[in-house]
Order: sequence, then C-alpha cells, then structure tokens
Amino acid sequence: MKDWILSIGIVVVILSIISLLLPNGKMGKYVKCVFSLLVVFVVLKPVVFLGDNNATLDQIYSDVHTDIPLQENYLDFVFEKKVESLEQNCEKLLENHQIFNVNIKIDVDSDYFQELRIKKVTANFENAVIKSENKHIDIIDVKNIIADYLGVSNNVVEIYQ
Amino acid sequence: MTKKFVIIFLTAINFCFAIFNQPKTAYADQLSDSIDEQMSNIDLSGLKDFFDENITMEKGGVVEFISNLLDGNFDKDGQSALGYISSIVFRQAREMLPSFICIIIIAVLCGILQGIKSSTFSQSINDLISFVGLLAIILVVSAQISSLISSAKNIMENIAKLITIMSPIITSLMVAGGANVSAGIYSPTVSTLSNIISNVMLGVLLPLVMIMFVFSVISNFSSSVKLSKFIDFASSTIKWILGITATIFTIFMTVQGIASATYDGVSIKAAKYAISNSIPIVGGFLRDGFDIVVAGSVLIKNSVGIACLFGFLIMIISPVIKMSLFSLMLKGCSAIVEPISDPRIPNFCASISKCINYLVAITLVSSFMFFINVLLMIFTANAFI
Repeated sequence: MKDWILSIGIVVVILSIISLLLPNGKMGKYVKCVFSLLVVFVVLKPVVFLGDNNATLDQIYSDVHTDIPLQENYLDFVFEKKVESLEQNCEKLLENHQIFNVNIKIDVDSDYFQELRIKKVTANFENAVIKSENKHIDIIDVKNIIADYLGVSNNVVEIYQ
Repeated sequence: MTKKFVIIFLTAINFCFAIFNQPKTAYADQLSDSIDEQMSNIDLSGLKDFFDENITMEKGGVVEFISNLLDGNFDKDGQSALGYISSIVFRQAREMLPSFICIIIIAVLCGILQGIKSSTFSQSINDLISFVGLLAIILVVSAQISSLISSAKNIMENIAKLITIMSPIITSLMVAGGANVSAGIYSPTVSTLSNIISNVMLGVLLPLVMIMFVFSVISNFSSSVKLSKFIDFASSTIKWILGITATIFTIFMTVQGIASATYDGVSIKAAKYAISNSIPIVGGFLRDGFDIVVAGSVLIKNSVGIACLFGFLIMIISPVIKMSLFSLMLKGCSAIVEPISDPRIPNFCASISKCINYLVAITLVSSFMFFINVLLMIFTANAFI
C-alpha cells in the first residue's frame, strides 16, 4: 500500500508542477487531461490487479484460534478445595447422624468446562465412633445418606470398615 | 432453701449463656483466607508485564491494584477522574498550539500575498504562493497525523494483546466460579474479537483512513486532480464496516452472555437448592466451604476485570483526547483562516479534521467492543452467590 500511495503522490506532484509551468493555452488542457487519466489509472491499479492476488474474505478469519489456554494449576487447586469442602460436609452430615471420625474420600472427574463429576466416594469406617444409643448402623442407610447428599447413585459409594 | 434456689437459678443462667453465646464462624476471615490462597495460585505475571510496559499505575503494579480492590480500597472518585482528564486536555492543547499558530500564520501570509494581485503578480505566481503555503501546512500537519495514526494503531494492537493475556485468567476464574458453560462459550468469542480487531480494524479500516488522509491532501493540493468522491466512498465504506461489525458483535455477545449466564445460574441455583433443602442442618455448613471458594474466585474475577478496564481506560484516554482535540483545533483553524486565505487551505483543514474523526471513531468502537466483552465476562456468574 505504501508503494501505491507513493506512486499517487509522485504523479500528483509532477502534475501540479507541470500545470504551474505550462503556459495557458490549448495544449495545457490536453496535457492536464492526459495526466488526470494517468492519476485515475494509478488509483485504480490495485483494483485492476486484485484478481491476480486471489485475495478472499476468509483471510480475515484465517488466524482464529478458538482455544484459550486455561490456568490448570489454579483450577486444579480450586477443584481440590471444592472436593475438600464436599468431603468435610459429608463427614459433618454423618456426625449429625451420630457417626463420628469417618474419613470420606471423593474422586472426581472434571473437564474444566463441565461441572465436577463424582466418580467414586470412599467412606472409611476404620476409626468410626457411633455415639447413638443404637450401636449398629445399616451400611445401606449410610450409603443412601451420602449418595442423596452428593446427588449420586448408591453404587458410587463404597464403605470400608 | 433460698440458697438452693439461688444455685439453681445461677446454673440456669450460665446454661442459657452457654447455649446462646456459641462462637460463630467469622465468614469474612474465611473468605479473605480463600482469596489469599487463590491469589497465590493464580498466574498474573503476563498481565503484570503488560501493565508495566504499557500503562503507568500510580502506586505499585496491577497486582497491588487488584489486591486493593479485593480489600475494598478503591480511592478513585469522579472528581479525581475529571481532574485527570482536564489536565490531559490542557497539556495536549498546550503541546499542539504552536502547530496551529504556525498554520494560521502561513494561511494569513498567503492570503495577504495573494491580496496583492493582478497589478503586481500574475496568476501563476498566485498559484505558486498557494502551492507553497499549502505544502508548508501539509508538512506541519503530517507530523501530527503520523503520530495520531501510530497511536491509534498502538491502541488496537494493545487491545488484541490485552484480550489474549486477560482471557485465560478470567476464563479460569469463571470456571472456578461455576460458570462452566459461559467459559466454554466465551473462549471462541474472545478469540474472534481479537481477530476482528487485528484483521478488520488494523488491516482494513485503518488503511482506509490513511487513504482518506492521502487523498484529502492530494485533492486539495492540485486543482486539476479531484478525488473528493473517492474520499466519500472510503468514508462510507468505513461507516458501513464499523456499524455492521459493532452491531453484530454487540448483539452476539449480549445474547450469548445472557443465555449462558442464565444456564449457569439455573444449574448452580438448582444444585444449591437441592443440597440445602435435602439436608436442613448441613445445608448451612455448605455455605461455608464450597460457596466461599466460589465467592472468592468471583471476587478475584471481578477485580481482575475492573483492573483491566481501568488500565485500558488510562491507556486510551490520552491518545483519544489528543485526536479529538486535534480534529477540533483543525476545524477551528479552518474557520479562522477561511475569510482571508485561499479556499484550498480551509478546505484542506476541514477534510483532514473529518479523517481524524473517523480515526477516533475506529478507536472508540474497538474500545467499546473490548469493554462490552470484559463487562459481560465480569457480570457472568456474579448473581449466583
């Protein structure tokens, strides 16, 4: 484009100088007409030769990259915190049912652009303490409590004793 | 008997105090700790480098600004902003005034010399005087125009760069805040925006404005070469492309933003409703852990977005004011010299002023698209906490 503008500028400057130097006569009109045609040709030159470049509108969007690189370290940290709070809440839930010292472990699968998907929930009853009057707990009831809270099916919840 | 009654009464009072004065969780402290933890894990180095290179912040860098926003220490108000803007206006006017005084003097001299006509100078000499006068004015104006064009180009390049740097940070914060769908939708949209700005604005519109400048100079320089219709064609093209690009982009972003935010909002609220209603006692505890992490990421996202907007405003305000002031002063010059000088000089000044208005319009439309984009990303996932 620089060359194009430069060529127009040079032609116009030459035309202006010539029109100043030319005597006022019949020849002056014809010379000015010829130079005006020359200016029109120079201005339209890129349009005339546009077909040779095979320029298309697709070139405007040729460099579109649709993937934005996420900060995976930060997201892993946040997801870890979220899972930690879910585990703590499950443990508190069981405490409300008089079952203490249960260790809950939740395994998740996340695609970053989708919600957390819980793959497996492990409840470790090794050090559990039951403070209710009824010292026996039904494992299925415990599974149901945890599964209902997390919104998953019972199969996902595993109990270790 | 009385002693027993007093002991029982005091025991009952102590019991009541024990029940009703249970230590309550300091939610503000937990949120503050969550924010500090997340800030130490998020990578803001790209943003910091960009701000250090291109934007001068008053105290410290962008990270300190974000921390101040998170602490609620934002001490900027309307009065300080107006003071800042007026200082820029006066400074730029003082810097440009010598150029315009020069233009007026040249135009007045040419007018005076041309006034000494026919008896002393021939028509050719008069034309030569106009030619030289206009050439001198073109030289004076060209220096300013080239700096304005490079400022506009710089702004648009910086917009594209800032979007590229800022998007991973804000998109990650949106995902952390629970706006997963919105983040997935904004990723291609943000890339498209930065490409529109760099390819359409920089590759098509800015060259058209430069062509308008050159043709305005040529058209007024030579009386035999008329390019005013070509200038009108270029200006119409710029108006159409700008209008269509801005309209499509704004509609697209707004509709997308509303739809994705609604989806995220419904899904998050549904999850919270289900959890808090199914377990009445534990529902209260849920708000401490999970929601605090989400709230922290939303606050950081908002602060980063506001910092980017604020820094961007500082970056564009001085060049935009300079362009607008130059256009206005050139129009003023044209009005002042019109009675006395050759018609080509005020026409030249007026046409260059019109070209600069298009330059300002392109810069402002690019900035507007950037603002809309950042504002939508800030407001996404805000209402769900």
